[in-house]
Amino acid sequence: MNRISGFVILLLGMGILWQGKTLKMGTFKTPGPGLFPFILATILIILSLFLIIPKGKKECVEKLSLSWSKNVKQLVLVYVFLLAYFFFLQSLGFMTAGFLLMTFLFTSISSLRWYIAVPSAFISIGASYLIFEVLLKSYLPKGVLGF
Amino acid sequence: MEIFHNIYTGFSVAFLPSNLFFCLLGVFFGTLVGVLPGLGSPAAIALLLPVTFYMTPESALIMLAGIYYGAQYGGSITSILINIPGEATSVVTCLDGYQMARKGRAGPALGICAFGSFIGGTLSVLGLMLAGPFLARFALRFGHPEYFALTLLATVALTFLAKGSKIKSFISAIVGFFVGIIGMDYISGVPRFTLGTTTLLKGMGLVPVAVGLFGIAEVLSNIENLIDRDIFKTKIKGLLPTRTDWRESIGPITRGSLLGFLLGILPGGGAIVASFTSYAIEKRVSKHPEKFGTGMIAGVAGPETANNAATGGAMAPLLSLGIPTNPVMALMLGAMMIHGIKPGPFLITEHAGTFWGVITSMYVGNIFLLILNVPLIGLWVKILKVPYRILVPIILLFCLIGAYSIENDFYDVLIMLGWGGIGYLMRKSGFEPIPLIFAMIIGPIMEDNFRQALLTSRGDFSIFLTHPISAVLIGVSFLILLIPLFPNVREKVSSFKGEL
Repeated sequence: MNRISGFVILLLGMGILWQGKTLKMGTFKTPGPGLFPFILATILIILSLFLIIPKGKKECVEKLSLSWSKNVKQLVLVYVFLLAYFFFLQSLGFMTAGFLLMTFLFTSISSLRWYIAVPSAFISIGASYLIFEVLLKSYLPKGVLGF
Repeated sequence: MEIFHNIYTGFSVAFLPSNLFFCLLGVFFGTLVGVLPGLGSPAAIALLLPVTFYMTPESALIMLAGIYYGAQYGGSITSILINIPGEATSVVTCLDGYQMARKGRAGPALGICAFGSFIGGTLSVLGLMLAGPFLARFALRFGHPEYFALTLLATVALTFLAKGSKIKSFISAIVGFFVGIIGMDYISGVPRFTLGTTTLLKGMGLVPVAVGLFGIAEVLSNIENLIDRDIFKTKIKGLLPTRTDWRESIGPITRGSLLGFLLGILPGGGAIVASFTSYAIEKRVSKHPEKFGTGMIAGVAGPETANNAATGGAMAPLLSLGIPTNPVMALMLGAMMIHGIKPGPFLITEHAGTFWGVITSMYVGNIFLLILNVPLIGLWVKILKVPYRILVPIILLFCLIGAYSIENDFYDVLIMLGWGGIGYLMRKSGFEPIPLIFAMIIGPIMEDNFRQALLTSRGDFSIFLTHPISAVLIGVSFLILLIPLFPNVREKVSSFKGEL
């Protein structure tokens, strides 16, 4: 696992160098916007090597294996629904997208029956609308239906 | 006489009805967050940042500070009653607090927590009142090299003290620095790492990143391991500690207050280090160290006092120097900047009302905490019984609204969800998110001072070593970095950590 994360960090460091190549490094007298990112990327690449290259029997960092519990499917599903909320937020608006998301969360995570989950979702969305839109004068997104 | 004038100024701000309300709200919410495992004070502060837009800067800071020190006490309730710390600062309270509860002494354990927290919190506010102006005067000597060196030391110390692999903590910090510099470079006006998008021109927002890393990621981790908490069934009676309890606790409370305040001031220190160190010291000075872990009240009084005292200590460098020493203070710095307040040596003169108002509100907040915690302990126990699976949807909803409502930007929601996923994977692979968020906030300050120092010295790096304060701070940073290379020192540090 350490080696995989090491490679990810290495790629990130190289990505910063690649993206930052258009930024002027300047000189030490007049440091440009590219100097600090260059230093950071270099340190990142060096540190990633500590994760990638094993140091004999005693590794620099403790070995770690990624273990997934049986709830991982539920977790992925929740994350997908959260992303779906983002993608539908603009078209459906906060009330509708939020209501659908909360109904899903109350049924899947809280294990509530649908006839309890639906009113719970309705109340939580209504309460947050009152707090943020009415009391705090925040502008929650409205969808094509106008709410 | 000046101090009395300052106290008067502070109380005239803190006693405004609106500020009293927000102080009460802050400590209430902080205690609630501390009681509920899975949502720490950094996440709570990040979540409530958007709400503070509608308040005056004083009210906002008073409420956020209240959350910070309120959460320290809330966390101890879960440590004592269910052996699960609500906050990282209360981990050590589990050792003796839970054992006291098992012996039917949950009441005195909770009581001494409340009184210890009150005494520690109040004494640290006194310390802050004395140290704040002194630090501010001292900070007037600070130039760019000193500020760069101080930010370097704060980051190195925080990263070194983070749990787990040091290399991974440093990687987290470097990534945090990088995230912090995304957006328009304010010296040259050049966009950096914005991927051609306008959303990233303003940089990665503090709230979306913090809520993603601490809110969403924490919830995702908890979904993976959903467990129903088992509350230790005991009748909570006799919250007021007995004379014997007081006799055994007064020493730990006094030492915890002093230790907490001093460790809170130090870069990288804070409530977690203070509580662990206090426990280690109490164990060492005790006549019966072997009884620690079996329900010694000193093992509860010391750390609980120290973690609250550290909150006042941590405020000193933030308010006086403008440099946060821990992640929560870094978020407070973010909050101050959002409200157009630049913390630093001139805060005392330019925003005297805000400076002294926040400090004196902490007195008031500590009294509120005592009022909330002693008679309302039954309420907190009831809240503990709310299953976490019911809270998950509500926490997620709050995260989603919070991220959007800062700037009414859809992409902030996406950034938050992205960081939620990254934060979850970081936790799974042993990377600490705390150095990342800390470095993200402090990174731009560090870069600015680094570049300005080089501009001033016309590219001469010796400027960092010819200024005495800067040289000392950089020297200490390097010494900390070199510790792993010296086996003797490393073993001593490890054995100290082992004792904790």
